Amino acid sequence: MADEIVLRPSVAASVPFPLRWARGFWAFVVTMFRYKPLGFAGFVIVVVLMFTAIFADFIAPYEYNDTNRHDQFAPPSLKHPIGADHLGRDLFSRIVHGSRISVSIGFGAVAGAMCIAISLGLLTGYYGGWLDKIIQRFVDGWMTFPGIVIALAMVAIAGPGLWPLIIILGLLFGIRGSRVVRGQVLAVMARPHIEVARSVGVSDLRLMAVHVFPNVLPLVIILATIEIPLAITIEASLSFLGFGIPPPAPSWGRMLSAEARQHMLMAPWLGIAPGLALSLTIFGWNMFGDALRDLLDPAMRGSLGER
Amino acid sequence: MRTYAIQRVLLLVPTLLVLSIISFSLIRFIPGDAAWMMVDELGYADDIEALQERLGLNEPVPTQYVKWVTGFFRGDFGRSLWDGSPAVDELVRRLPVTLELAFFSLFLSAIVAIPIGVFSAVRQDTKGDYIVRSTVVLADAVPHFWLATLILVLPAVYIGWSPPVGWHSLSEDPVKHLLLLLLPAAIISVSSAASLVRITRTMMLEVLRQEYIRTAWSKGLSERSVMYRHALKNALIPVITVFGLRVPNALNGSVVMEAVFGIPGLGRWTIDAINFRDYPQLQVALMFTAITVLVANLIVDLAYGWLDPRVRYK
Repeated sequence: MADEIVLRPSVAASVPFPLRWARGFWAFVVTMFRYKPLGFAGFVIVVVLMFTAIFADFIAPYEYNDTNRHDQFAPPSLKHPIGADHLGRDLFSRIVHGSRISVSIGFGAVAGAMCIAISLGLLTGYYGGWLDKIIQRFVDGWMTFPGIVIALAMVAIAGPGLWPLIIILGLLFGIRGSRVVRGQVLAVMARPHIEVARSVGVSDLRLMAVHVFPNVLPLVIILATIEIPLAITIEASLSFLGFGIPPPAPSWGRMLSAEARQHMLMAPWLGIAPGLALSLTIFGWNMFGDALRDLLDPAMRGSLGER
Repeated sequence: MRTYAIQRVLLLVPTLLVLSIISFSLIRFIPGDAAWMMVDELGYADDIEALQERLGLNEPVPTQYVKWVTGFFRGDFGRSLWDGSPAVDELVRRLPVTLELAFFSLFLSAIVAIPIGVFSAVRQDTKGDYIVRSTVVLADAVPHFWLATLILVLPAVYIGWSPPVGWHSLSEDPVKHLLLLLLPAAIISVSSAASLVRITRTMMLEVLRQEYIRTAWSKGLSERSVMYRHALKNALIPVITVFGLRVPNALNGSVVMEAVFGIPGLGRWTIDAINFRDYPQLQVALMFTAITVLVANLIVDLAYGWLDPRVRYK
């Protein structure tokens, strides 16, 4: 687990706060590879997942919805590398296409969540006052609801489907994340450079954008890597319960649902493969996120993960 | 301590108010109310307005809200729109089941995770420690519902046996009741156990580096005494926080497990209420799921304040 790896002092000094963005992507990858082997493995999994999602049409031998009467419950073979389902649809192709859902939910929902979290967090943290007090009470209440329960109620409002889910999960995590961003904004506002900027008459907007926001950004990135696997899990759970992405879209969660379970008795691979894909994805994001967190801000280890 | 406790309890009041507003207003956005469903889909009545009036759905939303909230103080949580039974009756049947499942799973994860976490810290960087750490990492990545699916399906396919699914209430048959809850609780406990092992290990390692532990060693105390009386006691304080943080997760897990194993708890009730647009039922279900989390947080905070006096005087 990443929280046990103590960075050697020399490393901690050479890989400081914003990772020296300028040193670029490859320096980051090399650092990851040298000091965070598990995190690097996670990074590779994430990259492979994105690659699969982008090139799904070329990787998958069939369309995800190609039915074939003769291949019902076909066991793994050359024709169907990991078997076929009750409609004779190639399982491998379905899982490959399912990665698109997973990636869109992960990035879409969390991108939305970050927009909400940043704007709400900046506004409440920067201006404070009675509006902040009211919003914080609302956030308190919002955070009390367990994620799946509130998401279920919201699916009932917005209806099932990929876009509604992205919006729902974006709202869910955005409002929760605003609390974290606000905390960081308050911490940044106490630093001397803000007072200096104010004293030379920098406008509120510019102060927020130029002096506060860049200092909040590393935290936002960390938050995002934590929330991506959570969003993917919640989508899968909702689809599993029958409230997520409707068929025939190849959602991994839906492929494991109660309706699908009866078919698994005939073809156990139907129950194994989608779950493996899902677990591997979550594993990859978790490991990558942990390593990133350690590299970006060693002081924050383990303080954000639980929700 | 008393001032601290009173402060914490008073802080609940605004949160409760917000909870009631969120639970109430969220579901008003759900398109199509129960009256529509009754008339359009099931043909219960000819005139939708008459039905809406009978169910109290025609009143202005603020009026409905005030009625609902004031009802709370009288122990009246509204009636189900479908069978007219008081929501509180069903709640009394459902809430204990979910609480039992959630806390059973947390209990399981604690009795498994804390000894493992201690072991892993004491034997830091040995083979045993590596095995524990890799297992934790893997356990964290496996979603509850996949684990449940595998446990239901694989034995059925390969050895022709499947775990029992169904329901016996506690009063009916306590032994069967606990056996039925054991599997879902164990499945939910996996991810909680993973994070508990991690925090126990980290905290133990931190405490073991402290000077008073060196003193304890140099006094010639036995390993047992150093570990359990001096180290573990202090290491467990932050673990309690994580325990509290796992409560929403246990409730999430129980929503899913109730659906898989056919357990009549709050989670299933929530899902039914959404499917049938049963506002009073859904409001109450949402509200009490949140109250469970709130009360758990309160208990954790109070326990923390009691165990660690520094917290109270902040």
